[in-house]
Amino acid sequence: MMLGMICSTCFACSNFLTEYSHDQAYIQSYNDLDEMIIGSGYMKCYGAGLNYGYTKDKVYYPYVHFMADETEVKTSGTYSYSNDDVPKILFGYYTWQREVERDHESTVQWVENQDWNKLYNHINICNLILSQIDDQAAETATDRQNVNRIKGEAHFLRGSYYFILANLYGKPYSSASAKTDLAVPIKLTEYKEDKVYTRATVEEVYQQTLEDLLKAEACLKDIPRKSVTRAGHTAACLMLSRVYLYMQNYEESVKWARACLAEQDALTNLNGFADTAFVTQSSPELIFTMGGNFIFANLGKGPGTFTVSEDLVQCYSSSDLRKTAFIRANDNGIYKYVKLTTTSNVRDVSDNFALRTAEAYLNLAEAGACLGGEYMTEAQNAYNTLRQYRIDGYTYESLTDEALIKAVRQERRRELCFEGHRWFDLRRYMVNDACREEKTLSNTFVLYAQFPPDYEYEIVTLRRYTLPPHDGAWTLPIPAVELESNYGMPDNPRTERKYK
Amino acid sequence: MKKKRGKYFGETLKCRFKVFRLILFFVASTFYASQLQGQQVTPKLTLEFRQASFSEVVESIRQQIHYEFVFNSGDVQSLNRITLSLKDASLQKILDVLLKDSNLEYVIEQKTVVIKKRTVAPTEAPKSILLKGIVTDHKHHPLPGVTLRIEGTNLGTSTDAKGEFVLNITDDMKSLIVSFIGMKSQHITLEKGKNFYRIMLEEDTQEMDEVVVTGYQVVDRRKNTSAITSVRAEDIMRPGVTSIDQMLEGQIPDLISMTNSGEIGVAPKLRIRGTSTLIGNREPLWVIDGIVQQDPVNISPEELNNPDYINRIGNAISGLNPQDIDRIDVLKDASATALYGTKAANGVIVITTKRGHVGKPQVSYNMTGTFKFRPRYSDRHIDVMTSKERVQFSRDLLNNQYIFPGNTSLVGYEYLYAQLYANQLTYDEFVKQVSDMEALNTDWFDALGDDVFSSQHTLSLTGGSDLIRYYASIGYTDDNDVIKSNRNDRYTAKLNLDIHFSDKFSASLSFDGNKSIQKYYQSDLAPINYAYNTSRAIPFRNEDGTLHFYQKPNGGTHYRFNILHELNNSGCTQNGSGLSFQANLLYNPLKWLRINGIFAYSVSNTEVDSYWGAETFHVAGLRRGEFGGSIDAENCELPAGGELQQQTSRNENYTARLQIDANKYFGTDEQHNINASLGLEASSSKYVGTDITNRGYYPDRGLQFATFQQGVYPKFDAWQLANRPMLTDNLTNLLAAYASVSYSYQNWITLNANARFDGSNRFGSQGNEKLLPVWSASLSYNPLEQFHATGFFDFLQLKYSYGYQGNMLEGQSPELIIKKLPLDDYFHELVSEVSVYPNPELKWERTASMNAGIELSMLERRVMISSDFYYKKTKDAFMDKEISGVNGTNAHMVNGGEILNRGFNVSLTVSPIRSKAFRWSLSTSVSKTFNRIETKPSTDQYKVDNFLNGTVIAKGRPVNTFFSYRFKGLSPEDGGPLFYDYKENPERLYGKSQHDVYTTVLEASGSREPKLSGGINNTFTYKNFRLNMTLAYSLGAKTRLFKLFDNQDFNPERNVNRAFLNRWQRAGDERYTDIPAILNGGVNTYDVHWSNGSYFSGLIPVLATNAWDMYNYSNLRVVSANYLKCTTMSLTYSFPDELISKWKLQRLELSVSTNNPFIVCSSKLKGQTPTQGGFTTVQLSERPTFSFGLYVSF
Repeated sequence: MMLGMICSTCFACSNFLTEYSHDQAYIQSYNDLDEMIIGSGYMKCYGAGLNYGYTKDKVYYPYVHFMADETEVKTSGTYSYSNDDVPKILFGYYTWQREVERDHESTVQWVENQDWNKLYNHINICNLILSQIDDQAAETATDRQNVNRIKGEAHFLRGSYYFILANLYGKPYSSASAKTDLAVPIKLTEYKEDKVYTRATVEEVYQQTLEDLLKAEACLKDIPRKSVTRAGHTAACLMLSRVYLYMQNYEESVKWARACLAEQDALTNLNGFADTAFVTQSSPELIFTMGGNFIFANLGKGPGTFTVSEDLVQCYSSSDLRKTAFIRANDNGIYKYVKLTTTSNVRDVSDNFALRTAEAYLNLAEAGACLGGEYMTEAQNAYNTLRQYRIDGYTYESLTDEALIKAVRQERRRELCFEGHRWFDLRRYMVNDACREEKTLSNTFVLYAQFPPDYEYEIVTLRRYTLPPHDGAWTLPIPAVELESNYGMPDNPRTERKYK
Repeated sequence: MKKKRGKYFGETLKCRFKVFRLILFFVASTFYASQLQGQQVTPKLTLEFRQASFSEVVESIRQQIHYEFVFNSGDVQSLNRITLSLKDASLQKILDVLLKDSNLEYVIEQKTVVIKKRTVAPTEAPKSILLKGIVTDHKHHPLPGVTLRIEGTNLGTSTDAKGEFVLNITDDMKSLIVSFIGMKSQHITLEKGKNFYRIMLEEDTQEMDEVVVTGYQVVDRRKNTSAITSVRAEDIMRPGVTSIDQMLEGQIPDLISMTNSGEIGVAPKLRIRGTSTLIGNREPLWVIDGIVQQDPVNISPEELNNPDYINRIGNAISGLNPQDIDRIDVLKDASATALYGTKAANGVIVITTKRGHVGKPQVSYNMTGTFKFRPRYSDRHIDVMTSKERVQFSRDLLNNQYIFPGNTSLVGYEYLYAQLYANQLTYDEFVKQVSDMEALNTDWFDALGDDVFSSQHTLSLTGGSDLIRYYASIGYTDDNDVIKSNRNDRYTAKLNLDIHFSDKFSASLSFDGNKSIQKYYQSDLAPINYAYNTSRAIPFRNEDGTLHFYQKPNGGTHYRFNILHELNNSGCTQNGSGLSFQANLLYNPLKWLRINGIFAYSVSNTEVDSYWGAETFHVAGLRRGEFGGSIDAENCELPAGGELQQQTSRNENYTARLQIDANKYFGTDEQHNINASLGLEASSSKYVGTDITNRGYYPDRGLQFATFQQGVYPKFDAWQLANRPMLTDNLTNLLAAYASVSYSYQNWITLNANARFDGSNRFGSQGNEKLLPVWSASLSYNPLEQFHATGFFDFLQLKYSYGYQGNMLEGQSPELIIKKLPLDDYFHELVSEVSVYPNPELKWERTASMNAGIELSMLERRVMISSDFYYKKTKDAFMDKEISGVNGTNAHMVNGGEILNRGFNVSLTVSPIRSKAFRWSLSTSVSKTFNRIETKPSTDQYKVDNFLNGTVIAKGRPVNTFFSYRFKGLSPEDGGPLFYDYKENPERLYGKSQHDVYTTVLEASGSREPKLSGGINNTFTYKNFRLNMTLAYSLGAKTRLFKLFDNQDFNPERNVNRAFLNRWQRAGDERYTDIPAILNGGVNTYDVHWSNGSYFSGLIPVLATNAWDMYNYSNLRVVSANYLKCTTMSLTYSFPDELISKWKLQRLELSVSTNNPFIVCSSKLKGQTPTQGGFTTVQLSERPTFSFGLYVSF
């Protein structure tokens, strides 16, 4: 009887012990992996428009915008309090300090390993997807196409993330030293490994990037793009062209820029352009975007905060339509940024990772110019095509050789400003074999404080910092926690930066 | 006696007897002496009779020797048909033969023989008496089932359901032994002629151990093999304390209770036998009447294990009225807890509630009123500057050109000085205001605290018949805190029914309900911390009595602030309610077999509403504008109204259990006993929670929310977008099978084995090893029973147990688990994210534990000693390991640890004086816990902060060990603090692992948990007075003094420790003081520690941030947290029975008592009590209270 009772209870309870969760699940099909890649594989996109004081943990490497020469801190004009203390928060980064996370008072303002962790987190999601995607049932042709697409997207993302990591934490790719310069650890396994990681060389990380992007290109071939927020074949081609350009492998760069343009070559004509934002998700020249847009809210607020640098404003000729489409002077004569959407909380195009056809033209032009010879005309054409759409009353320019290279680079600065290119470009020009360009950067830090009895704001601290070419601070230091958990991992040496 | 004898003779013999008795008396009194000296010589006789009467024989003797005979004819009636044949026999011989087998004796004097009834030995046959009576406890509750036994016989009975007994005895029986579990045995001397006895038994805590209650079983103490401590709730009751967990301190060996806040409604941390897990929950399991209780809100183990966490939400027994508790059994070793499975790894506290007694309804009312006293500056604990000292300190700062930190509050001497400087004040005004300020001495403790009165009331009703017994109670607790605005009201109701249908079938039902409303401050405000740390030179009220506000910085600007205004316009209200029902059906088909079915259901709701009003400083900061003033719309995050956060949690759980118990004796003398239980249990617990924050709240305008146009306040819009309600839903189903088997041989040896298997519905629980066994084996041995030894020892028992337990963590899985999220409006697709990263290598955490114990009592239980030794080893303990971010996440769980816990406890109870009027009993216990982590973390995941705050896992050290910098002295040049930190020879640290570097540079200061703890409980009873004093002590814990430095900022708003009066001022002072000088910023040696330099990057880890931090965390600031405190002292007077019976009362008691009247601790603690640590904000210490109580029953 007893036995019977127990058996019947067990039978009744077979449901009782079914694993239960209202939101958790195991991977059951490629659909789950598809949900996962958009949920955690792509960069997160938050609503635009908040300054970093509020969105510290939501932005991706925002400091690339401020470390180069696209911004400056205004020290003139009447300061009124603002809690947008971005220069203070990013002090360590934009004045190239040894300890990037600290402000001028040595107080920690930024989580130094935030981007490291985020990017590696995305990489590991890709690793997990890649390890499971081939095990998923795919019966129909559509299924197989979807599996291929997910696989391609995962490879694209992993390759892109390693490329970003290599450029943030490794020296620029130089054919002479890429095999010895250290970049970041490579991890391709899907499980956690409790071990001491070592930094792979710049060469190794670039090879990993190429391998992934080439696989992505192969997987995504002939698969229609789902949307601009999901990586497609065109995006893979453009990334390949960019990576090869960074590696000074110009033939390949040209090849993939051509491949990209073969699929998508539209450009927005700025003549008669009336929209408020130049690049939106519906722009014909947008290929792919991931991540949010936070920069506009942090530019052009007034003294003590970042504004568009005078240097950049001066780059545009008076007939350059981008001067008003990308940036705009406000009432105080301070330049604001209007290239991407400036509507708060709208999730549109990224200021960190967006791929546009304009870049393909510029890659093609620069690579072609560096190769010279038979490629020169193609390079000139690419250069002129782009400018045609940007300049009022444009006339064809037939520059050659170094002049063309330099012109293309200038054009690149004007065209791709505030999209996260400038810092990386300045780094690679510094080690470029075809046409080396070196620039000394300078930045200012200013601090206002209230003083009794009237509690007016006055400048209490004003410091000027400079970054000469080939300084250690052209590369970010490895986050201290990583040096600790990977005991013995060498850091990127940086010196204490003195100010005037 | 006379009367009785007369009756016995009967009416007819009355007259004759009267005459005869006179003769007899005369004869007896004169002849007894000679008889004792020897028999006189009488002539010899020969007699030959067959079936003769006594008279015939006497006549024949008289004829032969002419002796006179005197006797009562009635007495000799029985001596008929005498057959005897004697030749030359003496008279004595003949009489001996004649009177043999009769109740007669004879006396020979001269020539007279007196024959009479025997007087020395009873001369009559014992007469049967019907003895009746009633047995009650000291509260006059009848006690059913009390054993009554006539001393020296096997004759006995037991009381019926009404506590009454009837016993047929004979009048030669002298005394009655009355015994009952949990009561002191009584010897009643039976008086002749009294055949009704009213017997009152006194309760005896020591004898309560006749049985132990494990929740699944009730075990005879002689057959108990486990380490279990049992106490009666009444004996540990602390008046004015509202929850039973707070009463356990110092009362249970091997149980450590740690209270880190003296606020009302804060649950203490309890640890039974050390810490055997690093990650999981370390709190014991609560069981009420056999049912495992769930916490009202699911609090994560990390939070609960944090030594600084203040648990205001409460635990599983917060809704239980202590007055409803009958007894508590604390299960400590593996053998005792095995039947509860893995969740009992930290021990089990089994609570048994009161049940009804058979008898007429009895109503009791219990009331306690308590005064509680707020902290005062005069308390020796508080060592902060007076306003005069603080003003002088500010003057010193200004005189030394101290650079104040940016964004300071516009207050204090500094502010007056700035006004003077800006010509806003004349010099005379300045001087006057400064002197006012010096005399101000604001009493922040008075401003924020009150001496308060609280009360507790319990009304109970009990009674019943043979068929049904009941216990019902309602309770109300009104608990006020010394912190203004903190308040706790609790209502409880309980009903326990026991129904006895027949000898084979019975049932118990219970219903419980509770409701509580708890009010406390928003944790940001921390009023006690504020009172400790705020300058007394700041006024609290203006001269006209209105609140005084000062400008306090917030985000680069200033808003007005007054702490009481802030408290009055904000707060948390916690509404809790719980209902539970339990049915227990018992069926005894056979005498030795019992089937028990239990079903229990309970539901509890907890709702916490936390709000900030529109007028608060907090909201002004979010609004970016004063209340009623202009708003900085661009930065505004809360345009109007206040903020309300609503958190709710509902727990619904049920347990269903079927258990079969067999208890069979066999063998020729029934010397073998097998006691086995087999059970199946299903339990389910569901938590549903919500967490919603809304802004624009108007509590005083119909509890409504304002709406705001989009686009006007971009930051508010952004907040609104990101602000999503959080819902949680968590269901845990458990199915378990368990078995327990014991074999006993004549009560002197018992072998026991327990095992349990669990299955759960937890997601991802399909671990690598699916079956998780929990088992134990144990034995006990009673040598006294074996050798039937009596005398010196009353009881002696040796126990041994061994058990094994596995444990798995929630949220770990060998497979990837994803979390499904709703539609993403960016991708316009459904998305998922990783919930659990696969961790295929994780194994069970295993704990093996051993317990050896001895229990003895001697000298009629005047001395009782019990002692246990235990050894617990946890292997593969889960460790949170911080791994490289390259893995995509820093968090990783590994089986890294090995933890050893061992310890012993000795408890002693003595009753040195046990006279009727005066009794003294003393019980004391001491427990030692030795805890050590045996493994070194395999990689360097611990940062210097973990070392400093005690969350590091350091090999060879106890859990919760914290480390400190080694203070060297003050610099003779500038008075800055110096440390032994290898500054001169950093190369000696090169090449060492991070863990080794930190353990070299830092010094282990000790653990925050005590090594040795215990209590002393004294009870004196004199007539109707009872005096009780309970002391608790804790040894071996260390704590940090409150921080002295906040970097080196001295904000005018903050008060400063008086230690600064003694600071370094000029060269040479370093010989007398270790309080550093006040230095301005920019002195790089102190502001940035040398190890931060790039030169050392990669060579050694960063050792410290700055010297001020190092000073706060130096060994100089570590003090012993040893203490001896008096937890309770009480004096109770019970009115004598004679008096109260006139008032128709059964019991009336008045008591006065005090809690926490004093604490003895290190004098170095100065500003704090040992339970307050300098690791985080200052918490309220345990406050002294004074209570009076009334207990009445009728």
